[in-house]
Amino acid sequence: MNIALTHEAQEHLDRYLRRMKVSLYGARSIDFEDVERDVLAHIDTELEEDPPPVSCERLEAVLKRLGSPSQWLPLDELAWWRKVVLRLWTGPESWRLAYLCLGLFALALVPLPTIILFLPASYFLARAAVSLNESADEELGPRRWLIYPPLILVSLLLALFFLAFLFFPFVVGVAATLDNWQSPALRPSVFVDWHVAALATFGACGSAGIWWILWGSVLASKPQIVRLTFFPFGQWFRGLHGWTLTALGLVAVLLAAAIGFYYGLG
Amino acid sequence: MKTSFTDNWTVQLRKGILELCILNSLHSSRLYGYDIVRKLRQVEGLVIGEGTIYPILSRLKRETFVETSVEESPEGPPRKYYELTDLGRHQLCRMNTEWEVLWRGIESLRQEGA
Repeated sequence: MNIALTHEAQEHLDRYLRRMKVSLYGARSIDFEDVERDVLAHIDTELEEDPPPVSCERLEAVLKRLGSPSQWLPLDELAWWRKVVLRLWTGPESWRLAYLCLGLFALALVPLPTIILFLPASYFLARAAVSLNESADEELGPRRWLIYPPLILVSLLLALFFLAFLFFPFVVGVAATLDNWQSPALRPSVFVDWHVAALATFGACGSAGIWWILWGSVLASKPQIVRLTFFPFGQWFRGLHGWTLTALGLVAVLLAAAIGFYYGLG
Repeated sequence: MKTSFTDNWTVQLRKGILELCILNSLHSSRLYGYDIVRKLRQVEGLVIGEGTIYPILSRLKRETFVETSVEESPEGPPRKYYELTDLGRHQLCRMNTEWEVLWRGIESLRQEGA
């Protein structure tokens, strides 16, 4: 895109392009990247006379004329998985897919080993239902109570894993630093000996800081990792949040450096 | 005739002839995507969602009925132009002939019924 949009308009366009991708991606008769480029060029041309930044209302008028991407292809040209989900989701009032999501989720909660099968199945079916709903630009309505439970549970588990992934360097850093320096007052209370506390902080901040700088940079350049992993709850995540993590990592490293310098470590 | 039935029939009719209209719009000159949309807008009631044209263009390109070329534009970013290939012209001729035959048949039915 060559035109400047307001923040709200850019988010609106991002949502429209996501709907387009969900509706068209995988269809064998077309080249999705070609269509996306053509649509963006169309929007550029429609709005080139408008003074920047272009407002959400002006963009919405153009997108309204383009129409809903879910209507652009006939059913027989859609990707196979989309045809399957559409057969279950037969219209705005259809509850079949929602009941199937909840049914599989309920089976997953039964204390059997089949949780390994049913929980991912209900989760991915729920994701497909939400994607389909977004592409049709419809309201989920009461069906959300049936579709969201597997999404919430799996997203919570993923969030816990993600937090553990971000914070495990603290533990590693503390353990490695204290082991390395063979501090006498190792346990049980590190706060009795301030030197030990400083060592622990040095280790924790140093290792966590480097880890956060690395992963913050990755997430800043690829924010879609978070958005895809935590769909539909992670759509707010932007590159700026990744840079925030990078900045926190930098602060942690500087703190570790200050402690190290003060105590003559390293 | 119920409104929903008419609406559905009209939508299906438009979808069926959009490819023919797009190929006909490229008959005399090459155009870029937005120009094709602008041309088709002039046919009242033909295009409901302008975005439907782009997947059709992509499909026509895959069928090698049209080819594309990118050229610098004095008015802004480079533009992608569509033009008919020889196969596309041949296909267009066949489709226009089919259309003629169909249209004559429908007209004769209408006049019999009138």
